[in-house]
Amino acid sequence: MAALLSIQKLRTIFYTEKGRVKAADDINLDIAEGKTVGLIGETGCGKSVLGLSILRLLPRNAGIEGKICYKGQDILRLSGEQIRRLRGKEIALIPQSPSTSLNPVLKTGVQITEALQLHQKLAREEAWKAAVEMLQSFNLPDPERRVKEYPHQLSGGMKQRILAAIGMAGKPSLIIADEPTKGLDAIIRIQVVEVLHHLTKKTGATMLLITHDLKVAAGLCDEIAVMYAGEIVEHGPAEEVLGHPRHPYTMGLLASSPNNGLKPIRGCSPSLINLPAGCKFHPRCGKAREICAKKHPPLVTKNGSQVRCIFH
Amino acid sequence: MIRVESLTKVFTAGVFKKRPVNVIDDVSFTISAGETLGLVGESGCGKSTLARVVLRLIPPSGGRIFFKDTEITKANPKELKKIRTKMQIIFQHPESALNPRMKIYNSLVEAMRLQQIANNRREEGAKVYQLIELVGLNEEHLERYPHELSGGQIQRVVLARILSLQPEFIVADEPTSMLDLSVQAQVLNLFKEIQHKFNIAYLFISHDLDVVRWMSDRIAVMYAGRIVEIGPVDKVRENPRHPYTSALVDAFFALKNSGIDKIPDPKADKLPAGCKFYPYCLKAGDICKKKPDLKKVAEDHFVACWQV
Repeated sequence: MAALLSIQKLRTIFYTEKGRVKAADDINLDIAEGKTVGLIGETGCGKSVLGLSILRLLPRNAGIEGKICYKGQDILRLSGEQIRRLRGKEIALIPQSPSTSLNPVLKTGVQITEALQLHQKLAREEAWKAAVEMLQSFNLPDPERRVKEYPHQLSGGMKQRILAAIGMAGKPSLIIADEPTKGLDAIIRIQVVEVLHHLTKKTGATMLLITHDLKVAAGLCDEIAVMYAGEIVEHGPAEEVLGHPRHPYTMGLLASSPNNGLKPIRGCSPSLINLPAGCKFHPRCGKAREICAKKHPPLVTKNGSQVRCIFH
Repeated sequence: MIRVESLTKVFTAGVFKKRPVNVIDDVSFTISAGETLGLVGESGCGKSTLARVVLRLIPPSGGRIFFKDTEITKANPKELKKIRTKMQIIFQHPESALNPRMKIYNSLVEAMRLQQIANNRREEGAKVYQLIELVGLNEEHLERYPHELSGGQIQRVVLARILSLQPEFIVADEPTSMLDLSVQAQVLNLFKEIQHKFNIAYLFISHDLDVVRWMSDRIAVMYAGRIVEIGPVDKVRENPRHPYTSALVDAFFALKNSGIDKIPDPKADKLPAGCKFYPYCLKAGDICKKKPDLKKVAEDHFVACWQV
């Protein structure tokens, strides 16, 4: 299948007073149509920046190099007006923290219909009807009442469904979900997972799921890419990456989850301003040898998976 | 160490039409020295309120709280100040527990000065260095401000400050929910290490069942202000007896939805008087309209359900 989105040699750098922050470096990632790709990694590894780079939603001090091809056109070369048309209509973002992403002084219905009126050119009444239908399809109980309520009257899971409805208003082909389950409890988390599952499996949409919840990633994703310090260190089919991790960082990440014995990776993530030379993980890696500090390993493809480690 | 008997807390809701809301409803449990009781439940079920009432940070509306066999339910501020050194809490957002304009060193000694733990400044300093090493940081961190530390480091500082008072009981209110996996693993391991070293009792609140399972000896499941099931961690996880617990366990471990999305907020105000779970329960019968008590189903394992 052809790639819907193809990221080639992407490099996102923030120019700050303290120096150049390499938030994403040499990222190559293809997302095939209809697939869900999970992007996992720790805070500050550049996951969200990658998501926002695709939509060109980064602040002014950011510089992007490389190519992001969406349906054959390079997003980075589009004009402001062209990219604005793409956002919401073709590529939608479901932001993190449902509690802060909705406008607290507007009824939820208004926020959904706003998007519907813009993208699908629906009349007001039609848009309200469509909004209720969408919420119904997301299993939100009592949608007629919910659209007339304000965000503070809803629970976290309900708000996430409202956000999903806003995101889906333009019938996008690509959804970027940025940590949709962060900080939610078990019950609400399962509701959000179901909504995302529904979005991808029933509408056939393609999704880039940014998360650090390994369980959610395992449940939803076809492929998983692991990021560390701005780079993809491992990428492959979900069962492979989570079942038989090859990169030491992925192994460490899996071992530090509570159901695998809570064995932490030693040390802490490097600052993106001064990254270690060679392999960026070598100071924390148990298998590191001298060569790891000198040579920066390339991403090597083997049996359908890609690993960035010299010993592969 | 800690014994709580039929504790209740009633808040009043509404501006004009005042109505009572039973946030905590007839909760009893005990925690012994060196033991961890895990407390799980959805957001808004009363977990954090329970923690604060047990520590007497907010006064209870009814019931009794014992700390080492002394009743502290009605303790006056002076008595409380003494007890506070022994009972401490770690919050979910540790950044807000430290004064942003104080260096870490000053934050650490403040608690000791308030409780007059050290006799002089030199002793105080020595203690700080000892503590900071104990939690895996070093002297260099003492001269920094909270914003110069990462979330995991701040959590360590907060733990060091608590340990300076030599507590015997610590409430941890979702201490790692904002941390990354590998940092979470480091902090949780530190918690366990410290528990073994000083024989501290924990009340560990979390909605991550994996974390609770790892940390706790026993686990209490809360729904709408009541404890619906309490027992040894593995028994509750392998063999949940309350319908709510099984739904929660399914939702968490198997990412499986067993009809639980029909459950609205477990906020106490609009729920029925009997078993609060019965409108959503698949096994419910007429008897469930009466309030169930905790029944013993196995050694140390209690469930509040009529159908068990």
